[in-house]
Amino acid sequence: MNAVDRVSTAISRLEAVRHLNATTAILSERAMARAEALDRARRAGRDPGPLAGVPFAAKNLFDIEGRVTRAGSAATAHRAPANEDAFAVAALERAGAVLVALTNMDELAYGFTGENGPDGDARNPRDPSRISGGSSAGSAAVVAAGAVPLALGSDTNGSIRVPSALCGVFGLKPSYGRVSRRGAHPFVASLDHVGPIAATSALLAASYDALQGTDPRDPAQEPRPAEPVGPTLGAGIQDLRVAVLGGYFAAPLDADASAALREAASILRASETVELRLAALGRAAAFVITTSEAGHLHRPTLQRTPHVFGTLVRDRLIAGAIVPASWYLDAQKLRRRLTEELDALLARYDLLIAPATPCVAPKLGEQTMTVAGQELPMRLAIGMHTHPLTPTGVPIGVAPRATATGLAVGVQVVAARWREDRVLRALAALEAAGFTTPQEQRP
Amino acid sequence: MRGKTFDAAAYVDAAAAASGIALDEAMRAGVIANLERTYAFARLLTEEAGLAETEPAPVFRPRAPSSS
Repeated sequence: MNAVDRVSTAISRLEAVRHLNATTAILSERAMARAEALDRARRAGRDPGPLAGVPFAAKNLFDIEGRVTRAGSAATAHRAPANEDAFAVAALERAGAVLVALTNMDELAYGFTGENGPDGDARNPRDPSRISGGSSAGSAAVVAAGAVPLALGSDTNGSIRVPSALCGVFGLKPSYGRVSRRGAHPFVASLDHVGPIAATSALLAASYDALQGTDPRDPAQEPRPAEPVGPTLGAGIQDLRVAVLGGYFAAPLDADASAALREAASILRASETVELRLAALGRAAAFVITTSEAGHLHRPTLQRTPHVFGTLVRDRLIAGAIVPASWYLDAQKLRRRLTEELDALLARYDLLIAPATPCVAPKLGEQTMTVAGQELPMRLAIGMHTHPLTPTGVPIGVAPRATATGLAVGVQVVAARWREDRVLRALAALEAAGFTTPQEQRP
Repeated sequence: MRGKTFDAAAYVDAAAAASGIALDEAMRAGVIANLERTYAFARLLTEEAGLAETEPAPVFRPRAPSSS
């Protein structure tokens, strides 16, 4: 199928799933022009790239030339239109992919649910009465719905991994400092990551390879050569030492999350369970760092026009803007200890696995959820298993597992920094053994 | 301030004013609730032994200017 046909099909499918409220813009004109140019290049004998004609969506916090970057908030409406595409968008298009839509998200990326006041809530394609997970909510939803095979998201505390798990698709949070964040609306500078969400592990790997590349304009990016993961994707997992993260990560889990973890452990031959002692404190550190940096970032708007934010986000941001420096610095110190502890585990094991969420997607609007007999605050607890790992900066992938009830959960696959190759090998092995986006939903 | 006597409401009133953020009554309750939650997490961190002597995570590594 040529690029024009693929893009046309994607646009039709996106129109057909508008009830999910997963997109905030469908960029038909731009996408068709790009697709026509790709087809012309192919006819002229030029290589259109490894992602030739792959339609993709991007969370609406990525800059798109000529458009105001919304980041899911009315607070950004006064900003000037972007004068160029974000690095990640441009990188995928250089590889031949075609941007077709922008996707709904938690306001300013501050949430795990996909609930959004100005744009309405993103809904889960597996059951539209349930949350999609967030904050890269619409990005996971459009892939899970089969509208596009690939989407861009960002992950600060779990915002790629939580919606990937709850919608049932593959997701990757690369190593901190790997993929340039230029042109991605910031949330928490010391925790923000950009990464892909995809229908298959192969496309996740190909898109990650396209996203690598040095960019002196992101000061957090490590000046490190590209290390493609595609060539080793099918290498299997025979030589990898795998363990299960227990302790904090072992509970609370519903029956589906628990079964998926056991099954993944069996497939990856994880014979031991290890404990990350500082996990609970890592979550605490992530929470304090997040609220402090996000509050500081938006302080000028909080001073001038606080009511432009949604209520939930506004009150979090104000509280964050006044956090004492000692709390924040304690959190950054704990973060170093947490990272050292995880690095020591990852010196003994090539991969660690953990649940991505405690349970399947809760119903939209719920304040609490009950998991294994425990009542938990829904908006915070749905990210409790991704939250503690993010401050370490290691790469983490999610493999989806469909449940008997038609919903989904996910398993996190964790490797040492810069070892995305091992993560992708494990995701491919899990996919081959049944951790898949259901076939009927693949584009 | 880090002990059991932490008064989130008093702190919010003083710190928001000092930060130039005007709170109405509707905002104030939500901000206090959020700061109390943050305090609960921050207090956990102080219970980890040896944290005072630990280097914070971010380390500034200036890069050499590019040759271009």
